[in-house]
Amino acid sequence: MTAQTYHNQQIEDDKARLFIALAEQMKTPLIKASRTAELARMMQDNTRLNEIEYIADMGLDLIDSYILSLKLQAAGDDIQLQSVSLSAILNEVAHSLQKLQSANSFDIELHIVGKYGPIMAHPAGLHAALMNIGTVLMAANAEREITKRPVLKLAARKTPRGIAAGIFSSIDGLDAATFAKSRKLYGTAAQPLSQLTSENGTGIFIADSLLQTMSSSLRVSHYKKLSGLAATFMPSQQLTLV
Amino acid sequence: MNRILLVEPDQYLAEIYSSALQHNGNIVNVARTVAQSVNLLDTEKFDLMILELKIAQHNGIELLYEMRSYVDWNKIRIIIHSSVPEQKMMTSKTMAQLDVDKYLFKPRTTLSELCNSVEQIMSRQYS
Repeated sequence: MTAQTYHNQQIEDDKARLFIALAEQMKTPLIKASRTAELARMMQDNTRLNEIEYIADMGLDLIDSYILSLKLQAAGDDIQLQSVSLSAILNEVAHSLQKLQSANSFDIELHIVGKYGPIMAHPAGLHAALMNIGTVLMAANAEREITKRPVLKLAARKTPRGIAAGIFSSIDGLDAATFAKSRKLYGTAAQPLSQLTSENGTGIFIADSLLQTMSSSLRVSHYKKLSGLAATFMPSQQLTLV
Repeated sequence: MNRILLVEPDQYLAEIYSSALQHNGNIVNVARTVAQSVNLLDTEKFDLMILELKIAQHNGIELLYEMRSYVDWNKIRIIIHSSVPEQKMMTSKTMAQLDVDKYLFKPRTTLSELCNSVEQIMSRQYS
């Protein structure tokens, strides 16, 4: 097997594993929608219809992110990276996450440290990746015994390697070794991130796949005593040239 | 009236399942983690436990072994209600060793089937 054939095989294996993980993850919203409908019938309670709608939308968002990651992968080197304002994207994601949370159970904060210009990224891909990370971290928080109100912090800062952006929370069970292991396990293990969530955390692996198409990748990171996932982006040279 | 401990990490599903079980005349306490389950087992009395095996940080099998090692908790009936298929998680020998009454595959189990299983197991218990 040549190095190129091996590399191509690896890509196909990763795609298959991500698809299996997605299919497994999709069981959760479908179970929720189906059981909610049954409960509504049992209780003769039509107010639960909007819950079903919300659950279905969450499932559809996950499928859309997956499809986007496949399209961006297929585009390969032809992917159209654009000059993007990271703070604008983080702001949009913070608003979208705010709408998603049930009963206002989180404090969602935005921290943009320092001044910097745009980065090179695919705007829809970056938005989807950050949304997926945020959604998994919110779900993981909801599984825990929490004594104080949880915080979800969306942050960006300059680093020597570029501009880092990520989502952080006061959650435990997230470290570099666990995350590295989970990358090998997703698609085959029921709980590749078992220290973080009881689910299979597919949103995180889809986010990773999306970010890889932008020549970045997810890593475990820490920010002001919070743990989370972040990626580093190259600054756009566009404004410099102008 | 059956006293049920529902171990379900997903907050939304926990609310759905406990509503259905309560609607069927059961008293339900919900635990989202293994630690919460052990605390509730310590402080309350239960006839039956409905258990999801996929729990963050610890898994349900650990909780089962823990439970079966205490005489006080040995009489509690167990239904495993998990999104992991039975054959992937447990052999029939392990089920028997841990005295599991029933294994329900969550994606294929309706609320009515879950409630019926509770009734069947508890009526067996008292007959």
